[in-house]
Amino acid sequence: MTEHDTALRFDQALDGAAPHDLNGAESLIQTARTVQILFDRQYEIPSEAFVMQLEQQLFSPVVVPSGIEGPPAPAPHRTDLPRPARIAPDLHRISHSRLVAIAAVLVLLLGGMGAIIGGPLDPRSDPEPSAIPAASFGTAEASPEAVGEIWTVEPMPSTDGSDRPPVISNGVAFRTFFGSSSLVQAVDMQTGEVQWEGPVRVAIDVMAGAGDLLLVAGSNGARYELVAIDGRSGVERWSKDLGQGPAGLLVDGNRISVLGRDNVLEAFDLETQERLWQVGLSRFVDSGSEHGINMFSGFTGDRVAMVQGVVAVLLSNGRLVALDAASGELQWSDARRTSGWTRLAVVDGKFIVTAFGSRRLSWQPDVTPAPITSG
Amino acid sequence: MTDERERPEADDEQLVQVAQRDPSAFAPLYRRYVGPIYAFAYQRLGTRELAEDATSQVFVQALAALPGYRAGTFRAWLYAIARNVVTDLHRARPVDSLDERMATADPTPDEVFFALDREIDLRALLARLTPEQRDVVELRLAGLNGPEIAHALDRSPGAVRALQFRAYQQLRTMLDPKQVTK
Repeated sequence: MTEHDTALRFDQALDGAAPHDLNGAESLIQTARTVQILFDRQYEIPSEAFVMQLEQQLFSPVVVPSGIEGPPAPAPHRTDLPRPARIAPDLHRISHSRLVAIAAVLVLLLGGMGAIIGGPLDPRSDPEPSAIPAASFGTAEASPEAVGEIWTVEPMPSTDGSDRPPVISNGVAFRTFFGSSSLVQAVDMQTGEVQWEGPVRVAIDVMAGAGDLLLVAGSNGARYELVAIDGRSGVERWSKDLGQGPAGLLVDGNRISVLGRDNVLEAFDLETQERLWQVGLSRFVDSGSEHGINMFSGFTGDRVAMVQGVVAVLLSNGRLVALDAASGELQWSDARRTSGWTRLAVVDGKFIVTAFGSRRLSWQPDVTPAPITSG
Repeated sequence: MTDERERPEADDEQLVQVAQRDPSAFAPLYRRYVGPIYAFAYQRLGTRELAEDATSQVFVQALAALPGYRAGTFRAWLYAIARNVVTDLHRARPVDSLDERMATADPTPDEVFFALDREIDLRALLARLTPEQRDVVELRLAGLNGPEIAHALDRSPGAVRALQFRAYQQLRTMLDPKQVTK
């Protein structure tokens, strides 16, 4: 009886399909029972208050959590917002990140995945002068004839089909999936033909296109790696170890910028993979919230952006810091900290931060150079 | 509140189909799984605060991803999200935490025996497994079967079996000091 056979019989026994001859797995089954007993004894039950509050927040028609940290309350217009009918009095016990998460899903539920507008969160009523007009968020309607479906591609059968936003580079869309984070499906954007599909060596946290290359970064189970893959064939070209879990990835010409969850930004040469510079940005993160970048797959990822030789990084506390892309020298930082799920984008040559679940839907950083003291 | 240990029911997929059209219809699934997901998160994260954070994030992400869900095993899909959330939060914690202290400690059999006698802390035991082994055992304890664990971890059933086998061998050694001295 090989170890493989014993492992199989043990697995069958745990699944309730106990074979007649356990052959070596008996003592392991006893261990499994002991562990299960320990688990049952130490089983943690959530408080009823927590379960009820979360359910209310998730499924009530309109809920506006109060007490979110962040920019000063700007909005008299919010006083007439509908309030939850049965909001729990001890809401303050729910942590900030949870409130942000709850608010974010409400935005998604109210406005749909693509159009984050309308209703009580309508940015048109936001008095902030830097708010983006609502039209920027896609309220325009088009007739079905005008849109027309060109092609569709089914998800890979081995996935549950819940795909993340794709990366598009050189006419190829690279699709990844929530539940199968090492799988990639490459689709030709012209024809809809699948160029290649299959697993890569890392569970993808972030990815970016670099011409004909697809760059993916994440854990290989033992350490974090940046892996370059030929976008047309799926063949791996090179890889490089990363010190920390990646939270952002940007390619600009021949330079790769990788943001770590420890708020360290590194730049590499695309051709040689040599490190060009490395800058730690933790001092811009409040010590009380220094948990690194909180990754919400599918919601974050756009944390590094570039405008005219300046690379900006959106840190875990929603603060924006800008560096010279060539040297890594700090240029300026924006003093505002934005709570919520933040993303960084470039619109008309300007950095724009969007924050779901905060009081702002978007804002443009103050790019007036602010003195950055060294050290 | 309903029984926290209530087993998943066969109508998960039907409920998901309805919830894909009307997110409020997700509520029964939430009630069914909020307890087990919380327990799963607590097992890894070790504090009520973090477990509540993780539970919230899991259901937020599940609701957001629901439109893209394709028929399969809802439980495995939900636990795949949970595992990712918990792993992220686990990485983000301060390093001076129970897990690291327990994982780096090198207990003698006497210490383990003592712990057993005193009601051993399962979290401390699991912290000594490799991350991959721990994933498998925690999902098994959460009630997932072999194929569901493979699905949730995006691994082959054979790889899960091997990890599971070695994990329980390791646990057997930890639970029984005599095994160490053989």
